[in-house]
Amino acid sequence: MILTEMIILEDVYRRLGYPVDNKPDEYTCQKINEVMDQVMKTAAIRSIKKEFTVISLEPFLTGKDIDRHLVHCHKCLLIAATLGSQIDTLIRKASVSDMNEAVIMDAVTSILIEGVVEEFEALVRDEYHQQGLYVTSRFSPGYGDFPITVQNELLRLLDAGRKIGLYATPTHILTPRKSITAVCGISTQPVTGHLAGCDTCALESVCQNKKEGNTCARSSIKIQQNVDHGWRHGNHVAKQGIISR
Amino acid sequence: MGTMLQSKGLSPGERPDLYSVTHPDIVTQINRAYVEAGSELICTNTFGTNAKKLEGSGYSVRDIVFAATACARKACEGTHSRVMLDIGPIGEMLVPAGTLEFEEAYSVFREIVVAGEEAGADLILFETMTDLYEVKAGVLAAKENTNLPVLASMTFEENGRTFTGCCIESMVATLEGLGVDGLGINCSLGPVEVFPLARRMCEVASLPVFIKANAGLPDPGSGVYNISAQQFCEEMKEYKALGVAAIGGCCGTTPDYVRLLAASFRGVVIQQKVSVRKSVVCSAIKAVTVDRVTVIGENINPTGKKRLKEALRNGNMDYLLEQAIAQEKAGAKVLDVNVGLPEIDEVSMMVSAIKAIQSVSNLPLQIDSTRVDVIEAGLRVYNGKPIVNSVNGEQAVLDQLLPICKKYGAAVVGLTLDEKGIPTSAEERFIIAEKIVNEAAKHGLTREDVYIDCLTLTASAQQEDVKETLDALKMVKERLGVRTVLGVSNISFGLPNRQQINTSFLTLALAHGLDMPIINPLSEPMMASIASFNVLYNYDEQAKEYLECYAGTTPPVENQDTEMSLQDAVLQGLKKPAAMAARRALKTLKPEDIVNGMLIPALDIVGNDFEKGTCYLPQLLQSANAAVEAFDVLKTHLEALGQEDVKKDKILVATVKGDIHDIGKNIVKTILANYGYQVIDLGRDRSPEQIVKAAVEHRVRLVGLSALMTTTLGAMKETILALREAGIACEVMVGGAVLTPEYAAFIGADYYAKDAKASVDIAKKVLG
Repeated sequence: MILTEMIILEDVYRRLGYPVDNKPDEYTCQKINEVMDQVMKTAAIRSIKKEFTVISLEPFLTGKDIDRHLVHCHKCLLIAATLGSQIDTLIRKASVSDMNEAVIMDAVTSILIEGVVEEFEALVRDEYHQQGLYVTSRFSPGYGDFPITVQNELLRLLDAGRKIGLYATPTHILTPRKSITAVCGISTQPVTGHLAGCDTCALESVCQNKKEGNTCARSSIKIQQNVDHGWRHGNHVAKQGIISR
Repeated sequence: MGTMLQSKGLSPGERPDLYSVTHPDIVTQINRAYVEAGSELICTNTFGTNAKKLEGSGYSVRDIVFAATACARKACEGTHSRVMLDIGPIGEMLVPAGTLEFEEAYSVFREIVVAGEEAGADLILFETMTDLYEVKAGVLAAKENTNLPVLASMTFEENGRTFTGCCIESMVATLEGLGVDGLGINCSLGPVEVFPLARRMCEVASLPVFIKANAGLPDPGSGVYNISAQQFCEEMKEYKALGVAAIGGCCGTTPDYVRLLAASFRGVVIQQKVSVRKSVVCSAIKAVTVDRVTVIGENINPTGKKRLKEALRNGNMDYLLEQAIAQEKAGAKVLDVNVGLPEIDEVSMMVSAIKAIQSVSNLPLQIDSTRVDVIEAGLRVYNGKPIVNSVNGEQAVLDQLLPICKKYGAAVVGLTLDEKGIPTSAEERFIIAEKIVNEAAKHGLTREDVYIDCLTLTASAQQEDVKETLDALKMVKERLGVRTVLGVSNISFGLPNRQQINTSFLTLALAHGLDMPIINPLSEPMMASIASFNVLYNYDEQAKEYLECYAGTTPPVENQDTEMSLQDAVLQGLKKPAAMAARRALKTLKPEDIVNGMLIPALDIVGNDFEKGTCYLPQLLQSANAAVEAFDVLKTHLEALGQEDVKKDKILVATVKGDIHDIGKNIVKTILANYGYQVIDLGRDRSPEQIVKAAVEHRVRLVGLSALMTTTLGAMKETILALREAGIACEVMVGGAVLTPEYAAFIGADYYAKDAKASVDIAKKVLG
């Protein structure tokens, strides 16, 4: 898979605040291309997965939403992926000399890590399918009422520090920043999982996406954990950690 | 150990380190199995033992270290095997990647090594490390608090870099400098994949090298390693030729692997490694070998630089960082960092400057100060192997600084002057250089790490001595065999068209053997002179680099004045036209009128369009960039007139404790600065105390706080409370994705800023 193919430009535009079907000006498009080049040269993509029984993970799978997601699943899979810490340095560097570039870089790398996990998840699903098993969509800490406080434990269970250099701060923020962790259910019967709705989302009242009548689970917008929006830049939101399909 | 414990019943979620307390017999048994297999050095079961990882386990670091060391000691009884205190990564990333401060990492390691020595370990082993900065904290903790030998091993990927980007050359240069006793590679890969990396390490390291590879590569599905003990041993035989000092196994290996290894390597005489010593300076990511002309950027030095002085006084780190990045882009290979101003706390400024610059640039740094305490503080927090600028022939200076350079493993610049000043003749300067090199050797610094500066005198004042500098340079280079460094620009002081003299002098100095010119890399003629020199002296083979840089280029012709209005330039986000329009406007208007009558109205239009949703964030920021160019023109103009800048009030911004999201805060900063506010940016992960302190210090009337996570909103509330309790007469605006106007009011903020535009509206309201 060529990395650039994992970046859906439409999603980058939307992250930057452009409404659906609205392409940025020529300068911004050119800037996005330049940034993508830099990102491709710098990203050190790594991912891991590990299988557990749902029972053994029970202490960490807190919240109603993850329970609903894993209905009919006897096992589950922890997955994690990262773009590496040099991407963070690249964004920091851009923040000093050109904030526009930094914001575009932030958007591009957020969409990239999303694409990476998407791809990884698809591969894993195929593998299991060949064994006659079904894999739900992925569900990340911070989505619905699944708290991000489990982040550190999930990483420990995955031995993610040693295997892919992925850690969390004591406040449960993933470092390197452009990283994702998630849980997928495994079942002997066809399952898709149950993505949480808006009612348990931390961003329920401020979500632009919701105001536009969409939910993260339905819209093409990908909002994921670890996304850096600060003072809600653009006209759309980040959150404490959502993954959507 | 982990592999073995799992076979003895450790379940996947359990902490292996606790087994030394709960199942000491099993741990001793495993230790003993390795001793019996032939291990002369065995590891304690303490890989994950540190205060951070043990939190909530009910055990202290001391408990575990003592229990594990006792197990290992017992296993070694009656043999010659020795016990290594095994220390793995802390498990959190250090600043800037994470939030763990270097000083805190040091304390975490200190607790472990002190306990280890007391418990009876024979050596300390840091292993599976990926962050050189973390290793430095550990090695310093071990060297400063124990008398045990220290071994350090990092884990590399096939590309020769660790997860955090550290390369083998940087690891070797830094850790040899810090005085470890052995260097190694462990984990990640099998013997075959590690081999080329081991060879690279053996080539550059003068210290003993040890290797602990995995049992091949893990199966992606089962996680089982793919090579047998026989295969492992067979593949390890290749290593005999490298002259490695010790070998062992990491993940997937068992006592069986070690037994075969021990048998195979028994009686093998370690070949004396012949490594060629080179002059290397580095950051964790980038090692620079001084075997070609190596430019040191001189721009981070306040002498004669009004804006840098002002930035240092205001603690405006962004300006320093801009200088660092601009010099790196222009081709500097090392950056000099001097933050000496009498009215500031130079020690803490040096520490902040080094940390900040290393967070955005991978170039090695030259720590430049006249004060020993400043240099030492800088050396301590530097990640990599830096250069110290400088010592000189004065005995007292040598006695004071050389031991510090040695301790922290820095290279050092020696100036050819002493108690009596700068000698006139080349011969006398050479004698001082010789003394410096000899004194350095007495303190254990090899001549590869001494760079001699023969000192440039001003041509306008001491014209007859200019040639002495060049002659001295040649003598030092040829007779002492050390690298040379020279601040070039001083030559032209007091003369017109300084660049011309500087460039000519630089070319002459290069021809006389100058390795490291300290110059302004943004000066194109000087960089071109170096590029030409490299062609003419056949260093740039087939003029490849020269052609890459200059082929097909014609000297740039400035864009014709487009007559575009300042407003249009800002609205369209065009930097050069904005600067040109500002220059034109200055012919008839005062800077203040340009700001208030042209720039701000243009920014207002963009801001309003953004608010209405007819323009988007990238455009808003591009307009901001164009406005910055125009502001720069005005600033330079005022500076030339010796007048004060057009400035509005100060605003403090910060991301609260525990949160490291800062893009949003940085956008707000950019836009506020556009409107002329002086933004004091404290950065991210800032405690209430730090924010209160800065608010008092800068007497701000408006504070902007950012938090992105539901989990860090609490810290925001605490910060507001702390500001109120301190009785600071300031208003607080807050922003961040999870905030709502209601929640902002609930935590006691005065304003909710939904975006950067809103923060400007608030600033206008509060500050005018």
